[in-house]
Amino acid sequence: MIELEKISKEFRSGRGYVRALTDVSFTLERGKTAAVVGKSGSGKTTLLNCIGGLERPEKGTVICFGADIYSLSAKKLSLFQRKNFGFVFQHGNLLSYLTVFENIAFPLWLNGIAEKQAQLRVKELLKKIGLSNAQAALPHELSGGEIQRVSAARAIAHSPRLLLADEPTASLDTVTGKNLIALMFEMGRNQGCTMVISTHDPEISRLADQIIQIKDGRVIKETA
Amino acid sequence: MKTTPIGFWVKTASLFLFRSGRSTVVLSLMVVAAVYTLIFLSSLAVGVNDAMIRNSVSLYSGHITGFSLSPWLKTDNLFVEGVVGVLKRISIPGILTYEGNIETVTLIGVNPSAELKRTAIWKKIIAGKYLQATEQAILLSQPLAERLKVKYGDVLYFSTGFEKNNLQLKLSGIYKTGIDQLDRGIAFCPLAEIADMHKIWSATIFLNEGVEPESVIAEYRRRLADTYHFKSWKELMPDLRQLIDLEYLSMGIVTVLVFGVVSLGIACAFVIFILKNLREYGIMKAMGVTTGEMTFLIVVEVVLMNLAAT
Repeated sequence: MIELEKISKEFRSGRGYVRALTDVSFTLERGKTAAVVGKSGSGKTTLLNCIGGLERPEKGTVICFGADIYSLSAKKLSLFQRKNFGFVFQHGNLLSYLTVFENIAFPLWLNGIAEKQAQLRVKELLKKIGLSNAQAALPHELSGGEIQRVSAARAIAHSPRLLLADEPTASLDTVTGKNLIALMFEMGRNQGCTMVISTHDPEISRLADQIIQIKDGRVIKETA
Repeated sequence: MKTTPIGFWVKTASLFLFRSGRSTVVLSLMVVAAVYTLIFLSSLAVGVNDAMIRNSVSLYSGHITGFSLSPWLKTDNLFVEGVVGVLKRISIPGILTYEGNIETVTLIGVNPSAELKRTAIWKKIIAGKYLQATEQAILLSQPLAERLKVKYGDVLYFSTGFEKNNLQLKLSGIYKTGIDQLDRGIAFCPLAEIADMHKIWSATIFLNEGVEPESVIAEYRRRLADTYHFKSWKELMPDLRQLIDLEYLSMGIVTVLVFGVVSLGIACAFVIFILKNLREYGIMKAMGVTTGEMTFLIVVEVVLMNLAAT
């Protein structure tokens, strides 16, 4: 279960202090999917970063699977992240010096999965995302849709308990985006993954079990 | 949960470096150039000073000079470890005359063939030729020859003040070193000509490269009588020693400055290299790489690049 309790986050910018999140609270059951919807700049990315341990909120607590992640030491938080979290970023963010195969295998290596087992897992995922023939390609040789598919495979490779996807279809055309979402939901649900996806696409939010609508950093509506 | 093994990070760092080939090559070349510059500068400092010492001692004085040596002491007795040559010389003060012109000189008897092998006075001859052991000849400096108004082939007379010691010597050559001590008041003749006049001799000792004169002098003191005096070129040519010390200091300062600038340059290049990969490090951090592992990865990258450059 994911529990957010009144989290607030502020940034300092050229325009002074900007409050990105204000007293955001919600609970997401294990294995369920939540769609965080809202306009650009509403705080969706900050919220996902706070849940994933990438940005520490000034106030509030984030409890993931029973662990208050911001009470952990930096090292323990990193070790918790590598085991339990998978990220799909808006622009893929693949490691540019690693091949498709190595990018998907990276979280497996990081988690100490045996080489043979890792290879089998990567091959299985490559087949699932339809990129078996591109395993030796470097990220700059891939299209946007392919990058996002590899990114989704990498996020799910080590079977994390929580999958966070920050507008994964934003840089894709409609068809490619739909296919990616279908793939992510299929892979995530098959593994019993809890998923939080930020989007402003109503079609994607309709697939989620829970919709959290935010505006100016506040939750304005929560639909189960 | 354990952190990832070292081998994984070494492999990852190698992949990063290998696949960012151009940056790696440029940075490695920079390190190579910097290291070679430092080696060159250090070698230059040492080489210039060594050459200065070598040129100075090989002209005439040798590395060590032994004074007031008794006739019973043989040159062979002075061959200890590190010594490559010993020249026997006998010095006699006296008067040189030519057609009414008189000059006081110190006539130095030398072994011409041995001197030719070890010293470089012969390279400084501007008229005539160097001495030969079988000739009853004399070698004069240019200023002395001008004062006596002699030219190559003229015959001069040397006297110690006693009638029986009058020597008739033919001018075989005129030299010019540019060094005041050697160009004034000194003349050379074959050792055989004056060997009977004076028995006390001096030794000019040449050492192997890198041998410290002080250690050889200490060995002489241990082996030979206290009445013999030995001095190194450092004592006999204090001005040269000061010059070399100054040279070392100035080159040291230059090397330190260059080292500082080069180190700063390399450090900046590495920082740029790391900043270039900041996005990659950020992605890894989001995937749960710890700060320690990240630091280790960066250190391994820098070490591997330096190893490649070395």
